[in-house]
Amino acid sequence: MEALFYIFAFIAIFSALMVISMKNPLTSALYLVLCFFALAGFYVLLDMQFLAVMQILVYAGAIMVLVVLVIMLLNISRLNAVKTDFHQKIIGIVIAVVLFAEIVIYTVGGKTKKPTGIFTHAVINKIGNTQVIGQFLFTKYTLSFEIASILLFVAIIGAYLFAKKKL
Amino acid sequence: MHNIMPAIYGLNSLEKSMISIIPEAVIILFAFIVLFLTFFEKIAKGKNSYYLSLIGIAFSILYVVMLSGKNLTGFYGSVVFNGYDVFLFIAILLSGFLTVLVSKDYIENFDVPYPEYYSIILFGISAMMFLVSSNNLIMVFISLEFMSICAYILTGYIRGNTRSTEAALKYLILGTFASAFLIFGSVFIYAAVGHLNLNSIHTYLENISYVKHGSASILNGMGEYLTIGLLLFTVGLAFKMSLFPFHAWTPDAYDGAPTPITSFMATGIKVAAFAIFLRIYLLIYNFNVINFNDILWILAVLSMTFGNIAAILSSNIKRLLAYSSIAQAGYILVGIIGGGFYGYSGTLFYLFAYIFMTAGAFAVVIIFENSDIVSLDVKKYSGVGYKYPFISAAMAFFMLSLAGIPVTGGFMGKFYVFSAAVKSGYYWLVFIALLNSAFAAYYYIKIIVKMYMPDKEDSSVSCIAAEGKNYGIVNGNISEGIMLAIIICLFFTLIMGVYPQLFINFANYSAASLCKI
Repeated sequence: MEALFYIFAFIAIFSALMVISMKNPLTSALYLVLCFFALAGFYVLLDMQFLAVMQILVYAGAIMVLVVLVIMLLNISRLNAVKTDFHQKIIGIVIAVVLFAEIVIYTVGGKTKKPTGIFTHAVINKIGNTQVIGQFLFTKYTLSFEIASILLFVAIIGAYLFAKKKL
Repeated sequence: MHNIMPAIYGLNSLEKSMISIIPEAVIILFAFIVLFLTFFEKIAKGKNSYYLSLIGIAFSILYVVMLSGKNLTGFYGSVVFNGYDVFLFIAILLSGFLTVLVSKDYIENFDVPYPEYYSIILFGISAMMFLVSSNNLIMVFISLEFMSICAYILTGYIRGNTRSTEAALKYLILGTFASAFLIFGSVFIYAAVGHLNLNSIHTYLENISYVKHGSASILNGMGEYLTIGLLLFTVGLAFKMSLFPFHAWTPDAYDGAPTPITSFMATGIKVAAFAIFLRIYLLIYNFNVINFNDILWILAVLSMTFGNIAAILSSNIKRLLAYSSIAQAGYILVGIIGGGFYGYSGTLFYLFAYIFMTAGAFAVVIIFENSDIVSLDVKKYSGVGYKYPFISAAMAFFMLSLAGIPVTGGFMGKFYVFSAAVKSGYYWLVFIALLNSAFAAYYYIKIIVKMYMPDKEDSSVSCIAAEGKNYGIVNGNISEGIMLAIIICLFFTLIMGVYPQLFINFANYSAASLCKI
């Protein structure tokens, strides 16, 4: 298991670096797909199979198709000479340092904690992730679920209003 | 089947849950009805959507009044409905009511569909109400996002207007960023305490601090997670409250949005964000994982000072009111820092007063904007005081209230909030706040002076409405919707200044049911 973790971690970091360093946007997009797959691997290692499948379906599937389509429509073949300001670099470095410090603080300061509650690994492995999520969505979190549906509906109306030329 | 869920979702439980969200459900129902008007071309053109939305809000207020005094929990503790919600629901619904009232004439100036506009306003109101009543970190996030999406759409509603679209884009990008902070914060809080329900988190923290007897170094090793979570959460909410370092979107979004929507953002969204912040503050922040009052102290002082300085320098009236709303957010925060029962009830009182003075000021701006008499430039207001005595007097009154001159609601609110802070020993904070409000009086009174004492060279400004463009003022009469809005605002601002006891009792009742937990 630990070996798998390191393999996935290597793939994720490598592909993330390639995303930002490639000059061709299409290549970057394809590396992003690889990065999403590596993240899905992490989810499987953490016993979250449902989330892994969702990650591949939604991110690596639907969203990446959108990204590639937009790249195709805009017909960007190559980004030449990206301007980088001096203060942009400084902000980037500061944010990177802060995030790295955060990671160090968590790993040093935080202690390992066993999952609490009734859903231990054994229970989840017995009945399956999907069923647990389904039960929660339709009992404890029904209202959040319903509001999310109205939210998406309103967002669709908004997209329609902005995109349509003549109403 | 492996049935792990201990409680079966019985019919009885569903009924009880539904009652606790009836006011929101009514608003959503009316939003859908208004939206369906678009199917019928003839009906969609007229005033039907306007009247229907007013009726919907009135119905919702009726349900809130009918349910007041009840103490309800619904959907496994996702939402609560008690005295706190009654107060804030009425505040939010009135803010929505005023927005719809002032919208009709404004929106008819543009070639945009009406029913969608009103229905999104209604959706936005329901989202704010859900946000206020939510008692669960997931609900907080989803309803905050719902509210924001309605605001983004409404900000960019005037298609073809580059300023409006630019404002919507800026608001969308920065707002999404803030939401990311908020959800990141909730994840850390969940990681630290293992609960999503606010009351459960409260009980968990209470037990731990009871066992350990100390405020610092609680939560064996989980304190870091909780601290970082709460800090990120504060950033997410401070964005919606437009406190100083997170205010960058405010002037542009307020300036570019249609003016009724600016009023809606300045009143409704701000009240909802403050309400949920107050609830979470009381339930989680109060445990002093680190001293949050110090952080809020800095935020309040910076917001007040920055807002006032920027407002003095701006000449566009919408930008001026935007900066003034940043400063007002600072004053409201003083009440939360002051804390205690007195401070919370003062905060609620000030929020209520703030709605009416801000909405009233924006209503007057809308009248002048509609009638094309004066543009948004403050200089153009010179001399309108004699042409339009009533609305100018109303504007003067709202400005005095915002400045905190006695006999107005704004004064009582400030008095209440500042005295709460003094009681808790925040002398420096109150000193800075008083200095700031004296400073702020300059630009509020500058507008009044402009209206009643025109400069010599400016007096030639044509005060005659352009032919065929008399949307707001028809034959010297202002259309009844805006007039009604101004009268409501005047009435409440005056009553809260002259006879505040009524509202203080209401705020006390509301704060009491918040503190009871």
